[in-house]
Amino acid sequence: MKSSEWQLRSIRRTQKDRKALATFACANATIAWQAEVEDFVQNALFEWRFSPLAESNDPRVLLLFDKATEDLVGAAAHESVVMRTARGESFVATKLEVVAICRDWQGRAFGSGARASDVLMSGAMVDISAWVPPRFQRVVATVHEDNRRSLALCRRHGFTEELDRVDELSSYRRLLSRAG
Amino acid sequence: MLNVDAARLAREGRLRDAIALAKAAAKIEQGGAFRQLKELISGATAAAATTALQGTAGAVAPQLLEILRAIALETWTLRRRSAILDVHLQTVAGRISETLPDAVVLETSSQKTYVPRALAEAANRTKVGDLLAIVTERLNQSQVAFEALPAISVENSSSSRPSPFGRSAPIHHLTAADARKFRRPAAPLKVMIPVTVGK
Repeated sequence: MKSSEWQLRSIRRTQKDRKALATFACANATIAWQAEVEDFVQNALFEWRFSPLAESNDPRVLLLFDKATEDLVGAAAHESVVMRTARGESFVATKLEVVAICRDWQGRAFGSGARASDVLMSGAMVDISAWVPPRFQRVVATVHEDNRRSLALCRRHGFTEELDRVDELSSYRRLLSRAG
Repeated sequence: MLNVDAARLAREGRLRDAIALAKAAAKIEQGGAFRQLKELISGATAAAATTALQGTAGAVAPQLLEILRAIALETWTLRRRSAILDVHLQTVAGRISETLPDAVVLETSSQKTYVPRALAEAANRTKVGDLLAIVTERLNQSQVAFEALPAISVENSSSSRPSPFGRSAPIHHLTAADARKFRRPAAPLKVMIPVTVGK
């Protein structure tokens, strides 16, 4: 596994990074749940990260680049959220907002054999684990039920529990990182 | 919009980009959708045309909305392709979710913004459900300009459905069974590949 093959870093508030997201293509436009991932990355993720109103959520966006070509391979994002029951009990958690790999890299690995998706997801897990102030380590990922690649990716990375589905997003599964 | 972008680029000294964008704007203005817009406005009463131009398209909608959607999509595609994205310029477009005495709450898929009521009024958008865009331009270190614009949805209403993305995503509700899972301590997160996250 050679990190010399890729570069993983935080997003910067620059026109270059903004443009990289705005032109990021990860979807088959005829599949709605894919198109909405791409739409979010292209049109909302940059402002999601840098919105001054969201500072208390401590949002993070990571970008994965192919070192050889400097192309953007993928983007991942997470932030602190509060989950609540109807009775008012609340829990701080980390929401894995998005993990998206561009079309050209979907299913592909770097030369050393590391899948691009595993590198990006590992980056998100490292970032959540090491972040100061400490981020609550129960991580929730919302994945469309037909998105087999992402479901498998989450399973490989320890999202082995599942929350109940919410009525408004009945086609989406809420996966939870494992308990100790 | 594109002409405003072109003027902004010219002001920044990016003349070649400004000319290209102005030409693109002219092309859209000569296109079919724009021609339909002109025909529709010219055929409407003065009052209907005024409401349309003010962004409160009551009388001539929904045909007008369809045409505006087509023009908006063309413009949006062109702006993106032309790489005129500017870190000094930020647009927040969304739906008003709440009205307060002095402000309205503009909600997007990723954030909530409190907009002074006077600014929303300038765009004729003050009711819950209205679509509004706020363009923020940093002029220099100490000055920021805000512009409120009436917005339209480029989606058909049938495709407007809750999204799992952004801060308005309805994913925060926990059932009693979910809460039991959250009460258990977290295991260390699994890291398959040792990676370093750079700044």
